[in-house]
Amino acid sequence: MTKFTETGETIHAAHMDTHARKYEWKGMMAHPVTKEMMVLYECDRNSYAEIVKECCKDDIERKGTEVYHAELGDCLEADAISLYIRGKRKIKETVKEGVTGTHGARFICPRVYAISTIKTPLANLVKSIEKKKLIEDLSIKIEEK
Amino acid sequence: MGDLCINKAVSDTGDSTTVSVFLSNDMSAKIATVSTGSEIKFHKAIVVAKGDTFENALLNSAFAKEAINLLLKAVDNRTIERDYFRLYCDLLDGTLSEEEFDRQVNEHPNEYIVSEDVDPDLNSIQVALELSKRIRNVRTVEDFASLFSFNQLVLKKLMADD
Repeated sequence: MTKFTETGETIHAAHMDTHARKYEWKGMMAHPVTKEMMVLYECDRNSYAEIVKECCKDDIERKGTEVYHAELGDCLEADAISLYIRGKRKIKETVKEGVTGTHGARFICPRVYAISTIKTPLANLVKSIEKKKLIEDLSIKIEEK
Repeated sequence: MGDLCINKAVSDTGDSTTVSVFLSNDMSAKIATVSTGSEIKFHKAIVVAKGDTFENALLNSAFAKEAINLLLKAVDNRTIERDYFRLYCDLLDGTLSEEEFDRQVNEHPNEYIVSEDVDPDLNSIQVALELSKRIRNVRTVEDFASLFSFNQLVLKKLMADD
């Protein structure tokens, strides 16, 4: 029953409760790790996802998901999270007012297998690439000398 | 061999312009020679390779070539997303049955589901990052990966190596 707030942290569950100020339905995507075709939502601003029912043995033992958090009550809290839901169809959202201070929130509570991950800002990748390029350029100069 | 066609025009003062056009299956060439009296002023040749004229015109550097390939991929991926939503609209308005919707998605995944199967190199990522600054709604690594079909795991490994 732990709260995770770092980018890349992932939970997976048989049932999940999520809320965010805004959801964007992105259609169907293959999950990058499990490769299963799932419906993808992007949750934006004050996003939250919590495990309300743990996943079955087959899903727990899936290759690549060993580092995912799967205990009842484990949750993600971040600005932006992705939500992959098993199935091909859109799930109905509900709206409640005054959930986060004065703001309302939208709720999606999948009652099928779902995987949720804290998204990584693009700036992190830009920094990594700049650093790698710098190292590459320096090593070329050293080799030339 | 191809066809050769020569046109020559001479003025009263002796100035002349000759245009030679050579056409073959693979290329076309145009050579213009402008003369003043007996003194040749200049020759100008234009040679165009057929088949990839569009690419030749656009791809004058490795960066441009990579950028165009990535942009074409991005357009394709946005089209795939649009096609999925169109199909879903057909399901909602009853044009398509549930079974037909499932069948379409299962049988033609490439038409309705964006793949992330490209393992990009450092150069491709750099070019894509430049492009993504000018494209709407690319705020996270996940958005970036799905737009250009990049394997998210490769990008995350790259960041983890720091």
